[in-house]
Amino acid sequence: MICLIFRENIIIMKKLITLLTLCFFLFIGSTAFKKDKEDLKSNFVNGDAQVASINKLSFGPEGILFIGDSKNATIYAIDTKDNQKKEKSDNINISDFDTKVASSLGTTTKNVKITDMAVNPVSKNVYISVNITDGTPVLLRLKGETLEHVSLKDISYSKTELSDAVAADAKDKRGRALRIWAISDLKYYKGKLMVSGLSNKEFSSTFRSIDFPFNKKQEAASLEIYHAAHARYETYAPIKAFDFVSIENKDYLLASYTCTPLVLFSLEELKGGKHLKGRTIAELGAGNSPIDIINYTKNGEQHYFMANSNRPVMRIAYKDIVNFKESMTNPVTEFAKAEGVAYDNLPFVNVLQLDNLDAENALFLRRTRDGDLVLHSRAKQWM
Amino acid sequence: MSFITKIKFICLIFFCGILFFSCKKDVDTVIHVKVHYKNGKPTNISFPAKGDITDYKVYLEGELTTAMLGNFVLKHDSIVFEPVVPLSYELKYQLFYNNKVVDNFVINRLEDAVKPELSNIFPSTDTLPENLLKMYLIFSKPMQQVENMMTYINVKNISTNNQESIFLKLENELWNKEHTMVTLWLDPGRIKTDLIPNKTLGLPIKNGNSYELVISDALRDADGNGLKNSVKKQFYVSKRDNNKPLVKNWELVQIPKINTNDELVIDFNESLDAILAKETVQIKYNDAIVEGDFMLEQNERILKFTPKNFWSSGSYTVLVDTKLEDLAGNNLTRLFDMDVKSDKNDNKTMINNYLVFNI
Repeated sequence: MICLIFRENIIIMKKLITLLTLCFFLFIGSTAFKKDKEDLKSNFVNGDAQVASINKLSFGPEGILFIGDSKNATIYAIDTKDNQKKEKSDNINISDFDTKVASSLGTTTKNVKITDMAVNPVSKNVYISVNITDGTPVLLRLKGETLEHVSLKDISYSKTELSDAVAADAKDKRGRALRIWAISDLKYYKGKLMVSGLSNKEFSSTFRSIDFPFNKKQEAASLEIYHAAHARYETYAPIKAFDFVSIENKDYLLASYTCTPLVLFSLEELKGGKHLKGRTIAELGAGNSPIDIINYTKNGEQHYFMANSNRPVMRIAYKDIVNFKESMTNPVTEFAKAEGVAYDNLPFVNVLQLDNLDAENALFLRRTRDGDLVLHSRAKQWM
Repeated sequence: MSFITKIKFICLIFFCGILFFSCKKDVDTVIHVKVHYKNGKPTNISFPAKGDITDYKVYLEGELTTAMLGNFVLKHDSIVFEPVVPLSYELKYQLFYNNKVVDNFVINRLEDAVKPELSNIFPSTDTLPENLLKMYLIFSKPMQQVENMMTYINVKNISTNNQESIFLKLENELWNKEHTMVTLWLDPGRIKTDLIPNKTLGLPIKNGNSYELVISDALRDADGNGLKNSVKKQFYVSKRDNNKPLVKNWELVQIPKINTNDELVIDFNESLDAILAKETVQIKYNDAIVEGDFMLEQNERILKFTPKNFWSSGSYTVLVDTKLEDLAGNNLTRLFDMDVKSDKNDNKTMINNYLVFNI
């Protein structure tokens, strides 16, 4: 009897110890997790972010929105506090979207210009940046079919100025003003913010990797590519749109430029002002400029999708990128001819903005044949 | 319930009804919107505080599906509506209370609003080389930042009566920070010999032809005011300029006298880039920059320099940055359209980029 009671007590004690151990690890885990989460916004301040222009938008974790401001040559990280998790977005199909944007600002379409669009991967809410006639930037958020204003005057944010950014009145070697190119694309990847644009050192294309949360550290590299459509090596052309590709456990930058060369750069080598030579894997046609690149996996295969200024959305299979081992170094002699990695033209033309909406859908801002600007979601199954 | 109580109850309902309708009538009929301006921009509106502030909305007339974004704030005895961006001139707006229109208002332009003018088109000369690289348009006020300039520019070949597309259409146009000057590029791919666009489309402007450039008065400034007038410039196209600017060919046509602030006058012997010509020339005295103002005249062929202080006796240097370009984009060190086999590209020869004069 005594033995039995003793054994029961031991069992209870063991259970208690297991429970306490579990609680302890849960507590430690949650504290560490909380700390990690808090750290991302630990150097944020409240107030007027004084954003002068919004050229590019891109989301990081926890609803943090990155804003590329070329006029101030600064990247802002904005805490949107838009953290309510949603797995699936509602379908979006809004006609006359530019009229809707203009009306919400009390004006007409000729007085507004949509400069970028980004989807918060946590809440699936859509953010739109707009310029008005006098250049004032405005940030809007779509809720259902209604637009909301996201004020940047009283907000939690942090910022980092781009070192050696292009001076406001700098000109390139043909005398063209460079300020507008200072930030041409930005994306958050594995704890760093990647930014393409121009440096004022010899006006060459610079790619930056910036630690986030922002500190003083900015790794930069000048990039060189062989542009087969121009039959020459180029260093000053800025990357217009980029994404990331992992090949054999190494991360690469998949970069596209005006006149649409597609180039791979090793991210590992992106260090301390190093001059990097890229491997040109495709020429997707002169007389065109890439707008956005997104990627996703469907039916177990990863694909990249690129929206363009003068060509339809292109679909490129990951396996075709991996299998293309060459480096294009011969000129493309025929105007607008495409060579290199294979791609499919999708039946989506005049796509002005493109982003992942959720796991199943992409989001397009597209001008239709009759001139209507439509914001609509599209099932990735049919892309 | 007694008879008197019933009467009291009916009176109470009657008075409540009167009170309700009179309150509603107040909001319906008395509203008059005032428009307020800050730095010449219609930044907000106000009206007498009546009813519930949350029941007001402002719409652009005809766009009743989308209310304007902004804040309604109670200030003393007024309600102020502060839209996200200033209201637009010449547009009509409607103030709604409880889904009913309570006022219509128009934003009139201020009487003292000044229309923008196109102050200069460079090059100002009316004879241009067929390999002309760029043109500058200078405006008197900051211009709009949403539409493409090409929408408002028309070029006609007078010799053939054809409309021509000579300028490069850029996604991001090349404006200065103040948005008062835009650089228009003639397509470099068509100018450079043997590039594919040059072979297929030819030069943007052709030797022996006359052209007319028209900038429409529909082009607006940052406040939406149209240009004061449409502007036309006619020009004749001459043979291509295949020579780099040579400082040794420049003439100092007026050397100022000592103890005066008379102008120093330099003749380039050709028209040069109007923006670079003023930025790339410096006058030096004992290695120090002489402060003063530059002015271009005679179709950017003559440069006049007026010093801030009087000239001293001694030796002065006119120093020229080698990035100075002529109208074809040739600078002191290289031709824009280089023939790699030509001697003219020999950058190894010493570049003469200064002149000396004595006072």
